[in-house]
Amino acid sequence: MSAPAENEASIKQENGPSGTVQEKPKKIVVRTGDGEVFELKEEVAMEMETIKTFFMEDNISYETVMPLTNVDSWELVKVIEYCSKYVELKNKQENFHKELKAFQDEFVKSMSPKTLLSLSNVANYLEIKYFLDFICQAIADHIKNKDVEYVRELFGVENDFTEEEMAKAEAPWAHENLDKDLY
Amino acid sequence: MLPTDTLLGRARDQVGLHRQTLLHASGLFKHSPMAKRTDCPSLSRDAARDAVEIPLRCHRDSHKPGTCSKLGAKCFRGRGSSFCVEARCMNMDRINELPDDVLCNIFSFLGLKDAVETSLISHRWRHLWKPLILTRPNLEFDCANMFGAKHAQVANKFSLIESRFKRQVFIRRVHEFLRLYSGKKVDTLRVSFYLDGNHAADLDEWILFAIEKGAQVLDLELFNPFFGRGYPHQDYDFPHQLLQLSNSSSLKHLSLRRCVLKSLPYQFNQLTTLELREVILDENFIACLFSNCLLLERLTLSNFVSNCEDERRSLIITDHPRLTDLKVLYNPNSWGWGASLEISAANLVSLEHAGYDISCINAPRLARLHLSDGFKGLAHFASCPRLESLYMLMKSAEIPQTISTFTNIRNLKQLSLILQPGYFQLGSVVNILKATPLLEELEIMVFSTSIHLGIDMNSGFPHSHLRSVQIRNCHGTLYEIEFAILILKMATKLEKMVIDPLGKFYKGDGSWVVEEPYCCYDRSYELRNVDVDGVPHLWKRKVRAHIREKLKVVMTDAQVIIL
Repeated sequence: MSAPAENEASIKQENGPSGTVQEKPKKIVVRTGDGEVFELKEEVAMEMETIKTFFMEDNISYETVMPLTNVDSWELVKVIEYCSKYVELKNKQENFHKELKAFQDEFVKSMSPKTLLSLSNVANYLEIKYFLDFICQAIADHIKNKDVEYVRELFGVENDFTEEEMAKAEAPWAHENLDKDLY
Repeated sequence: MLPTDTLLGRARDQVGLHRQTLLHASGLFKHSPMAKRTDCPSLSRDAARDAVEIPLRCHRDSHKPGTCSKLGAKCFRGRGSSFCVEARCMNMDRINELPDDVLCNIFSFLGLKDAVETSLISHRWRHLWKPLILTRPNLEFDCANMFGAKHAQVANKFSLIESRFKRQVFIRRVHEFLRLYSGKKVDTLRVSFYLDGNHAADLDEWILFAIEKGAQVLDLELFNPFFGRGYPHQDYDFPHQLLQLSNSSSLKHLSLRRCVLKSLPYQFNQLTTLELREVILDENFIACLFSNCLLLERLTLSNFVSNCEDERRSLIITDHPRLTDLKVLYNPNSWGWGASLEISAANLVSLEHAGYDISCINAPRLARLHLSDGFKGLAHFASCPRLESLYMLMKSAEIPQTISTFTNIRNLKQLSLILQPGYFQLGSVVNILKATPLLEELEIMVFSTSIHLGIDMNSGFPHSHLRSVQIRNCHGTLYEIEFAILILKMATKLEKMVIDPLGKFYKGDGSWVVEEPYCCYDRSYELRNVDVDGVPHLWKRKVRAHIREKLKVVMTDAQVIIL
């Protein structure tokens, strides 16, 4: 396991039941599946429903390091990047859509489809609705022009249909092609 | 066996360690099946190949440990960067297990045909597309949805559209989809295809279906391709009578293109937006419209055809308290040009107008105005003191009179002038600036090469509000440069000046024209040779640098961008 380095490890939260007011911004510590420990700003962490429920439901103190076993460090880095930007733009309020769109384009520009797929899984696990929708839209945009074989390979799915089953698809126009009808 | 000092070799070594990590992890959370996995599949060849292909982009490589404030997180350095690779290896296997709801979510962003095609992937995927697609509240039936995203552009290929089969396929697929549809409520119905009166029964059925399911938005766009060859085109009659038999409707937005609209069903009295493009209307339509749709806020009448005899009838729009946005556009090439327009709307905020002779305007709250025929109409708007944004065409001969009108529109903040071809004096624009001291954004599009400055270079005066100036369709002539220099000197608070060799011309109703003849008209011979992106060769080679040189000498805080 990696040891938390430096001085930040000993952040003590005065989070007593009386709700003491304090100046320092609260941090939440999580540990990813590959052993890395991350410290998140509270407002960013609360965007993730999973984390929010974990701490809020049973009033668990922020001292607890929450394990995120199904999330890898590189994935969490990306999620944090997106959520921080989203929260920042939301607080700023002006030009929200334009700047968000610019950020989104930049975000997915260099991502491979496989990366997008893992991120969608993580977004689902962490329950971040807007991020999940964004990633799913990006994946949909990617697969919409591709043929069935490509999609199978991308999602790593085996073709388990027999010949006749293929012919009897429930919505017949699933495999009707424009070109076939036209000529 | 791979040597361990390669990336791949190291990855395989680390996998063993990973297994340990997983086994010790506590599965606290309910979600994906991964939480319960206690074994780690061995690194398959495919996963290994993928692991190497993905670039190692980990932020840790680029900064010191302990600080990552940009991302809002602190990251503690653990192992070395080989850690990154094994992280990715693990993921490859996880992808095969994307949970159903994530997959459904992805499909919900696909067009209909593409979503339906996912049922061919595997047994598990056979029915996944159904729950979200068959209850989708926004129904869109167009080329992309009915034939697949790769055919979205086929609409432009006229030769394909001629085929009768294509229309039959479209109609059949829509019917099948609606048959399977199980949603309780429809929000939007949009049909955008080459259909007409010959398919009235189908169109009627779909419209009724949507209205009865509570649709709020109805958008019917019927295109007219080049059919030729004796295709029996028939106009489609919007089924107002049929709709009057149904219950009250919650339709708020109706948009029609190329139909016949005899009258609006009285149930459509909740309408807030009505857009009619190339529609055939009854002569009393407008009057009836306003007496029935009292909530109407936005109205677009673009190239409508009246079935009354006298094409030059006047269009009177009056006494409509809620109307805030009006577009009345007549294509200059179509008949009916020159009919007169009379508007009286107390709350009108935005007006786009082209092709009419304005006889009377009473719109005291007008803030945004788009005029395609320039000065002729501008004088009527002198009584609009709240006008903030103006887009208009202008001929040089009209300028002197225009200026006095401008003096009355003192609150103008944004001005876009299209300077029409012909001899022109740019100096007049400076005079306009004198009449509009509060102007913040100026955009001019130069159409003519026979322009002169027409004023002394020293006759500028400080303009303390101008923040942004754009000179479009610039040719780089001496006078344009002098004009730019003059503006740079005059505008003390200028933040940005953009000089653009290209230009776009706004025709109204959301349509822009980029190509010739508008933008290339009267361009000098040398500038007619253009590159793939439309920018003249000469501009790139010489003119741009020349302008930059000339403008460099001017002392200004503004950012000068020459495209």
